[in-house]
Amino acid sequence: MAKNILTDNPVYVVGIGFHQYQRTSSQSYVSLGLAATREALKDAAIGWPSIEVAYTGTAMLGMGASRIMLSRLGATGIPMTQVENASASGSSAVAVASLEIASGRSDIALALGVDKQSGGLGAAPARAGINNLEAGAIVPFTHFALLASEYMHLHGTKPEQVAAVAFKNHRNGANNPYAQRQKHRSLEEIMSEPISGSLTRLQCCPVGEGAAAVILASDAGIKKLGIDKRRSVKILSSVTQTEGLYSPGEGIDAALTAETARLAFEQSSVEPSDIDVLEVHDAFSIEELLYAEALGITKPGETASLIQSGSLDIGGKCAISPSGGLLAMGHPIGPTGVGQVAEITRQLRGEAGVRQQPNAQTALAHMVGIGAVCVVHVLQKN
Amino acid sequence: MTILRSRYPDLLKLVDPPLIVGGICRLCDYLTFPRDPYGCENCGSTSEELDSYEFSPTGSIQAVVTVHRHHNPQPEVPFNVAVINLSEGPLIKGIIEGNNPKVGSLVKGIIVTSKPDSEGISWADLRFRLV
Repeated sequence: MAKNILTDNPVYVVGIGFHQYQRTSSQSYVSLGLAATREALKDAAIGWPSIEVAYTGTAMLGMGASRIMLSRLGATGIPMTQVENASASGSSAVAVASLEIASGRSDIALALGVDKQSGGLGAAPARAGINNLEAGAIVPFTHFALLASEYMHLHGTKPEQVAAVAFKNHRNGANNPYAQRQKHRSLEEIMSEPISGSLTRLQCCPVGEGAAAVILASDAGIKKLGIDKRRSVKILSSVTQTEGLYSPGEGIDAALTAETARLAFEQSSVEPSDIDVLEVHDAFSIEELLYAEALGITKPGETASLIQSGSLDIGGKCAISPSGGLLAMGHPIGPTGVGQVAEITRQLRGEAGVRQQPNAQTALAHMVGIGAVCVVHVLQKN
Repeated sequence: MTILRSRYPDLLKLVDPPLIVGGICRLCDYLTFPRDPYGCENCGSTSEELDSYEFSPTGSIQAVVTVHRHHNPQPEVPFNVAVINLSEGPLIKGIIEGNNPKVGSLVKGIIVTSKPDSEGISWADLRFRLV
């Protein structure tokens, strides 16, 4: 088992900030990233000169986005690095920033996620020279529609039960001022406009633009800057895995998540039943069912009925996607994983207002990305 | 005169019945579709150790959906796609012709051809049909 250096060298989230996720606009990514970073600095009550290192999670901006953006806070000359890991780019920015602090090299780090669609090169696997016969007929939403078909056949789940994931998450997003979709939707609305299989437009996440930022600190950093430790949230574990070879019949997407989660729980000495808040990669409604079960939060085949019972709502046993998730909060790619950690921090601080999961102590952030990669962070109230 | 060509000559052989070309590792017998030109994901052997392996495109449907929206004009929506568990092991995704495909239904590969283009070439693709 890989050593968890976060155990001996604690890392805390001490500041969070967002620029609202939104449809693609003419707004520069520079202003998106600066807005989130300024909000995170204000939240931590520290100044930009205190930041010792910055990691920017982005998948669509292209080369060299960090300095042109962050130097507008003051060209302090700190190390800046871009992190790309497809949809998990922001999660990986948090992961490397955590390691930077835990290693002792820095005491205060910024993990920023910022993105907007720029018509760049797109996904590298498509250019790997490994062809297929599908002729572009099977795009991501159809891949997940097929997983939904398989899941429903296996567990006897009805399409409206899968759609209930989106009903819950749109309702949560309606209370999140940073969400791209802030509208309560009826189940009838959610089930209209079919895209592929049982998936409909509102069961697929919007990919727009935005930014999210978290500031991480060591104990020494907190002490040095006089940061309010009561509002800090501890990162218990940070685990990244890539797709292995799995047994026939074992779904790749769920198997990768299960393996990553197993390591994350092992390293954090936390059980799935301890998780009060889960921010999960619900780019398509079926994913919330698949991943909640792969993470061990729910048992195979029972998630849909637990959603119907309210057990996975805010106020239930475990609030899943209280931010609105990717389905309502949005999935601007680079910001998404950072935004999950920021939402969890807000929840564990008890500052989430009407979206607050009561008495939230422990939470998990989960993202996957094409390639395929999975990143899991377990966080706990300090 | 119309010339028939496989749209993916490395992957689809225009014989009757059609065959699809995957790969097998000489060192560990790991089967793949499509063939991997770089190395074996199972044992790490180099591409020199990977041979072509011809699969019969027959199997059973593991999952199936109807696609209602698509970014390209072809194939025309709605169309059905499925995950097919090939009789010889690997999973493959493909377009299903015919009505009412269901999980568990047996399917076989068939060749469909496009209208000849300006150079008289008719392009052949693989589809699946219920057995």
